[in-house]
This record gives sequence, structure tokens and C-alpha cells, in this order.
Amino acid sequence: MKLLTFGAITPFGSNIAEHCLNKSKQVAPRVEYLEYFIHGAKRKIAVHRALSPTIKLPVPDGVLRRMGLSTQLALSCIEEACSSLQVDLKNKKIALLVGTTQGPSSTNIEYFKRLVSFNYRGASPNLFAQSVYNNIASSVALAHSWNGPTCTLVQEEGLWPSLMKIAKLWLQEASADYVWVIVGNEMSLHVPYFQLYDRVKEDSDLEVFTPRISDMPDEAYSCFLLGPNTSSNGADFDLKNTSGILSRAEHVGCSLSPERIGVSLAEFFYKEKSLNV
Amino acid sequence: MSVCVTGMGALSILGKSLSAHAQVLFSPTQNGEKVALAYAPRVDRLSQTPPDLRMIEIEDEIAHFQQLLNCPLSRNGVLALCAFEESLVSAQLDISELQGKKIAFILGTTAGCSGTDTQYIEDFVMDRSPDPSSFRVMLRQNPAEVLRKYCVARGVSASFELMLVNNACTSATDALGLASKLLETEDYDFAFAGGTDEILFQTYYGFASLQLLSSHFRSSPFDKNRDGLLLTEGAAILCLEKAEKFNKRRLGAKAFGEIIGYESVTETFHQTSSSPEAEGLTEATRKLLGKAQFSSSDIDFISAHATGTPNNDATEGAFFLKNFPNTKITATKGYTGHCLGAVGALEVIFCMLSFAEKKLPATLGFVEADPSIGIVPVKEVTPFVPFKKVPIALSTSVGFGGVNSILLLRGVAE
Repeated sequence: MKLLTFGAITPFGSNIAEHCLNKSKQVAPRVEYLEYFIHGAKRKIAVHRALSPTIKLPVPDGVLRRMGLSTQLALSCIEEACSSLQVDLKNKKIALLVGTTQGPSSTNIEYFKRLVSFNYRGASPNLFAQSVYNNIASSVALAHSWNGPTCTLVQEEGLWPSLMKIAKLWLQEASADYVWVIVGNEMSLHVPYFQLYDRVKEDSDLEVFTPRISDMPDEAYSCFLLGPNTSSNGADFDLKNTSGILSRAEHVGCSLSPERIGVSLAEFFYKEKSLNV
Repeated sequence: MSVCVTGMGALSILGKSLSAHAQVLFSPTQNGEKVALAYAPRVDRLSQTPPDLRMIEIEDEIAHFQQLLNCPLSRNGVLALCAFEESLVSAQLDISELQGKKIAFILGTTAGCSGTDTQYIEDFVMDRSPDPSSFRVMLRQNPAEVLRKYCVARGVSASFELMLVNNACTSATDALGLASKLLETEDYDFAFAGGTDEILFQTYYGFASLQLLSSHFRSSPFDKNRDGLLLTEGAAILCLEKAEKFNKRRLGAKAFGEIIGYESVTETFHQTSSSPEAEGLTEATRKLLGKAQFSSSDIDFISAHATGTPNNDATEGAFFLKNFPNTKITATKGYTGHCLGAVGALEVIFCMLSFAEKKLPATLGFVEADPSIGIVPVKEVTPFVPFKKVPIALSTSVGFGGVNSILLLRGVAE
């Protein structure tokens, strides 16, 4: 497969260039403090949040009336990736493969909150539709009018190899001319809650907990546009070439690793591209 | 290369085994009046409960599998385990035969992976400081992973590949389609594919808010008075093998059938509705039949997605009438309800049973044709004679996000 373009949005930058620059300069990632009520007191935990996405939608207002954070993050890195794309995607069969572990979690929680707060009579159809896991893929498809196959994989272990197998299959079978692989997680409110809950004892006076960076769940999305080997543009994208990155990133130590692997791959290809230039 | 269905396992509100399903599906109905729901509706959460959550009684199975795996399990995982065990028996596979093999577990689900401990989430969003231990377990309840744990607990050491597909109502169809394709390229010895979904009250209310639920608590596919779907739960897992490996493993044995094609297309029309012109189904069918070099007149019958919602059935019905005028259409959600991420696989199993029985199940719930569509599905259990030597069927699935997925199935020669 050929890699035609890529993009990322992370706590260090709203695009891969900014991310790499800030990381190399050891600029602090964006940190936000989430507040939880644990053992009778409000406690705070520091988490990494991706920079706020800004998106220019390619479709008229109203086609996508509301978007969850995951969709916005995914669209943001696609917008970045498309800005340097040298092939025309118009009238092509574009497939979307999304890999995530938590899906649109903030929308899910918001949907639940409304449901519970209004004694189970407050279900919002809009929030429910957005809380469905494949909403990220379908919203991106709707935003860009891409009508190839879409597939959302929800798993932690073996996510990247699975995504690569499906992408290769779709390209080989001509189910799609190009395949976007989009991987990421938005900050799932449960995950830092676990860390804080485990850390805080009932008689503890700890008010703010700042985990080590390697233990902090990340909020990041990255995307990669893959084409067949016959594409005249692009770099070779093969799991064998990137297996070192995959294995390093798999062992970063955070349970939500797929988004870290995605960002690591984007970093790798950005540096490769810079070297080639 | 041919991908055979060599084993099957199914649970739904109709029953907890293949034979229970076959018994109901192929017994005569009287204009949809005979409903054989094996399990009664159960109220789960008192005043906050949806009025008619149809759940499968699996309390004994939950206790059994939790003891075997020595860990807490969600309903979703246990439903998958029940279907998986039956698929092994049906494939005449002793678990020890999986030793040292390359095995793929490719499952679909929807709400089943979004955290099923509703009490925890309720406490969490209401700032009641819940103990997260139960939810922590739930977060690790990838049903494909649960199947692997089961194999390991039974002493199997093998090379496992796991995939969990979450494509709304097409999840199981996509899992089966991908598994059948990957079986050709990845050299798996066995692929166990299908879907599992437990019913969750938050899902129930979501569908209710979209006004997609039947007020009569039954699904009436293609009927003039259909008014929505019946949300249920279930699991269906199929054992897939390459024909040559199966023939070697069980000399002279017959498979249930084959998966000979799969296509999926996303139509960019609306998040939760199908386009009136059935753009997605049209494109997916065109590609599927084109690649397989079949024409619409080769298709003996279609197992329709047909949820019983006004929008879905109108789109699908008009599409079938236009493109498959001579093909018999059957829809089984009148029996099983809509078990979301499992239903695609359940309906493929029904197609395989139809191949074996040479009969099509009735479209339970269909009484009177909707004049705005004009489609009349099979009303009674109907014998069929294949157009050619071997019967060919399509199984369609349509899901939120505009996903349209179709499987092309073939029976076995006499």
C-alpha cells in the first residue's frame, strides 16, 4: 500500500508539524483539570487534551448539524492531511476505517446524563445518534460525501494490524480507490476517574493529582490516506517497515495505546518527509 | 476459493439453540397470529424500566461461564460464549482440535462494547462517586477477547486474531463478510464470525427517542400497519473454513453452505435514515452481483433486513420490487425482533437452515401489503425449488450512518 498523506491532532499541536516542533522544543502539552466527586470531596486530575479543532466543513451548514468531539478531531486531521494531498479524491470510491477504544465517549456520557437527569424521559435523539460508535465514520463520510465502505473497529489489542488487513483487502478487491485509516480517542471521562479513585483514600487530603506523562491517557487523532501499490504518488506503507514503531508505541504504558501508535506513525512519516525534502 | 459455513450457534428470544430456532421458523403460521416467543418479557428496573425489554434467560449460563473463566462477564460476552459453544458442536469440532491452529474471532456488536454497567454510569454522571471496579471489568469485555479467554481456560494454545466490528445494525454482516474475505488471504484455519448484543435500557430509550420502536411491541416487516421495530438481544456465531481444509478435516461431510460474496457501501444521505432511492443497496448489489458474475434472476430468495420501521421497509421493499421481481423475499424480525449487532449473523444462519430445509420461513407480522410499496413477502412457510442446482440467497443489512452491507450465500449441492 502507498501512504498518500497523513495528519494528526494532539495535546502538542493541531497538526503534525506543530506537534513535532512543540515536542522537540519540550513545550508542555495542553493540560486540563477534570473534577470528580470522590469519597465525599471534589478532587481534580490533570489530563492531556488535544488542542481544540477548527474545521471548515466541505458540506453546507445543516448537513451535519451537530458533531461530537471525536468527529471534530477526526475531521480536523483529515483537513490537514488533505491540504498537502496531491491526488484528486473527487469521483473516487473512498473508504473509511476507524479504530478506537472509547468511541464518542463524551457524547455517550452526555446522552446518559440527560437520560438520567430527566428520569429516563430525556433521551435526546441527536445525542443518541452521535453516541453510536460508527458515528465518527459516518459523519466524516457525510461531511465529505465519501461513499465507499466504512468500518469501525473497537478494540485495544491488535487494532493496527487489523486495520491494515482490512485496508489492504479493500484496495485489492477494488472495493475502494483509497482508504482513510483514522485512529484516535477523545478523553474518556472514565479513565482518569479510575486513576484518581485508585489514588485517593477516604481520609486523603489530596485535591489535585497529576499523573506522570507516560501514565496520562492521551486525547489524539491521526489519519492516513492509503492507496494501492500502483499509485504513482506516496511512500510505501507496510506494517513490516513500521513494526518497530508499533511495538515501541504498544509499550508506552498507557492502556489506551492505539491513538499513541497513530501519532507515533505520523511523527515517523513527518520526519521521513522532512529528511526527503 | 470457497469459504464454507461448517458450524453455527444461535440465541435469540426464539430459543437458545439452532434446533429451537428451526422448530419455530419452519412450523406453519396462521397469518402471523402464531407467535412462539420462548422467553417472556422481563421488567428490569421497576418504574424506570422500558415496558417490554425482551431478554433471554441466561442466568445459569452466566454463572457457569464466570466460574469457568474465573472472572466477571457481561451478558454480551456470555451470549457470545453460548453461541460459540454451539458452533463448535455443530461443526463437530472438539475444542482440543483448535490446539496450535490459527484462529480468528471476528465479531460484531453495538451497545455491547459501550459499557454495560448501567448502575455505574448512572452513579458516575450523577456525581455519586461509584466504585469503578465493576465498570473497569466491563471496559475489558470485548466479546472476541472473551472467546479467546474461553479457549485458553479450556487449555487451548493457539494463534488468535481478534476483531470487534461496530457498524451499528450491519455489524454482524460486516464481521461475516470481512471474515470470509480474510479467510482467503490470511490462512486462518478457522474463523468464528458473527455478532452478539445484549439489550440495554439506554439503547431502548435512544431508539424510542427516534420514534423507531413499535408501539405494539412486535415487528411487522413490510406490513401496511407496521409502526416500528422490536428491540431484543441475541448472538449468532458461524464457524467458517476454507473448503479444502474442511474437506480434509471431515472427509465426505457437507457444509451448511458457503459465503461467496460480500459488499458494503455507505450512502451519504442521513445519519439515521436510508435514502428513499436506496442508493446504498443499489450500489452494493450492483458491485456484489457484478463481481460474482450473477444476475438478479439467479437469486432464489432474499433475507431482508426489514426492521418493520416505515422508512427502512419502504426503501428496501421498493428496491426489491424493482430489482428482484422474481425473487422470494422473507423477513424474520417478526420472530426475533431486532438484536442489532447480532442480527445479521442470525439471519445468515436462517438462510443456511432454509437451504437445508428447502423452505423459507414466513414473514411473521406481515398481514396486508402496503400499497405505497407493493411488496408481498412470503406469508407462510414456503417450500422452494432452486432456479439452478444449488440455491443462492442474499442477506441484506442496513444500519445507522448509511451503511448498507450484503452477503451472497450459496447452499450445497445434493
